[in-house]
Amino acid sequence: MTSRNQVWWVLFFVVGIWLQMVLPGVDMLIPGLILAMQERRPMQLACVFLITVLIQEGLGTLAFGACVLWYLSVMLLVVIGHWLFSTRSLVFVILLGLAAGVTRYAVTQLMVSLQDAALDNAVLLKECAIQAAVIPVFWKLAELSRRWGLLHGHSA
Amino acid sequence: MIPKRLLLLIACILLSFLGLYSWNQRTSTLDRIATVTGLEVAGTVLKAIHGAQDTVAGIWKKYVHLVDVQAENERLQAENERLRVLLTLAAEDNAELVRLRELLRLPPPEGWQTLGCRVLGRRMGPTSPLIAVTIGRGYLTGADPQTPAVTPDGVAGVVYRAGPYTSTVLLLTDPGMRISVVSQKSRTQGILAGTGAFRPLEMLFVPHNAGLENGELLVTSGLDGVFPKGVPVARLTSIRPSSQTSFLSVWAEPLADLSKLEDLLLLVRMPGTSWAGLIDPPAPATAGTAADANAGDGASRQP
Repeated sequence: MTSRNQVWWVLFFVVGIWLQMVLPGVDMLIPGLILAMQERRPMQLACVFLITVLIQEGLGTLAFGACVLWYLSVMLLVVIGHWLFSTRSLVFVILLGLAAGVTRYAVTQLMVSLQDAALDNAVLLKECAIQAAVIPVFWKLAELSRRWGLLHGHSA
Repeated sequence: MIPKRLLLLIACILLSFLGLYSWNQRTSTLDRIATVTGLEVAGTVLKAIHGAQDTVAGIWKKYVHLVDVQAENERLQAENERLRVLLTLAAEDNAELVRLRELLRLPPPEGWQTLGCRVLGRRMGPTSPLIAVTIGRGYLTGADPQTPAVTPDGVAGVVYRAGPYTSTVLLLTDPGMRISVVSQKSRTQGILAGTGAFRPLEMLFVPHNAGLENGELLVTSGLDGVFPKGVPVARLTSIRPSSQTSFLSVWAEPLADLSKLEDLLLLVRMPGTSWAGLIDPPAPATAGTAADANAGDGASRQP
């Protein structure tokens, strides 16, 4: 990874964490994971996945695993979606956002029941709906800023 | 058609995940790693963001002040503007001062000391279905797991997970939260349970002959081994006979405003103090038998 690329990722994580503070219960780092998958650089994807998982699992209140399972489901959806769509198209990311919202609901329900914890279902539904809406928007913004940042770096 | 290789990969990943999950359930190793690394990184970023917000606010105040000092020499109208701007900005400082003074005025229970901390964020990330806030203290700075967190109005929650300098506090309203309480007048004991954000708390296991009254205050009983005795928690709002159980249906509202938490006080037990807020008898000065020593250890280590 170039230093400009690393700076971009650091800024992405800082902004993502700040946005998570503003929007409680919503994952703002997953668009970065989708971007990393689309760029098909295994080392970058591994680093982004590891950092994202550690941050989200550390901040979370469930036992380790919920975030990993959800991210793996989303990554599987990206792989399957790759056969049907261009993974860089906005339509694909909108559909992926919807699917990610549904899988997040299912995974959270599963992990909460495994831990025998109590859960406010209405709040979770609302957050999954916001999550589905936020993914394409934040992904598009991240992609534009990345394209601009990296192109700007090459031309400089 | 899905290739066999992909199916095999999915099966391998699922099996690995189940193995890791089961191992972590027994050892909590991954939880600890995530708390010490991820929570700390996010906590550091959040503290930096809060610090930057404070700095920008400070610079902005100074800028407004300087501009208005120049304007003061030119026109009386600018002086009036400056004072109005300063008044607006000072209102927030004043509110913070009042809040912090209230925090300092709260006397800790005997044998316990208080530690102030800032709330950095609430329910952060996708794996935070429990009602909790992130605070800027960790186990190296007094916030061990199970440390009670209070506000000047009453109990707010308890430290749930702790990193070195950042931790998560589970709030009173979380459906998984349980506190042993006693009513202030009738001394009726019960278990106070959360039912969700913005919902009343339920007092469980209250017999029909309990002499509870609406508006009565519930305080911690000190029997749960977490909270000291006598800290206000909630006020009773509804007492009705239950049609489903042999207990009363009792509801209460939390005294602390949990939707607007900005600062919290942690209650830290001082060495040699029992959970009920009483000071343990001093250890015998002379060396005792091994049995005496074991008994002493057991008394100081509460469940």
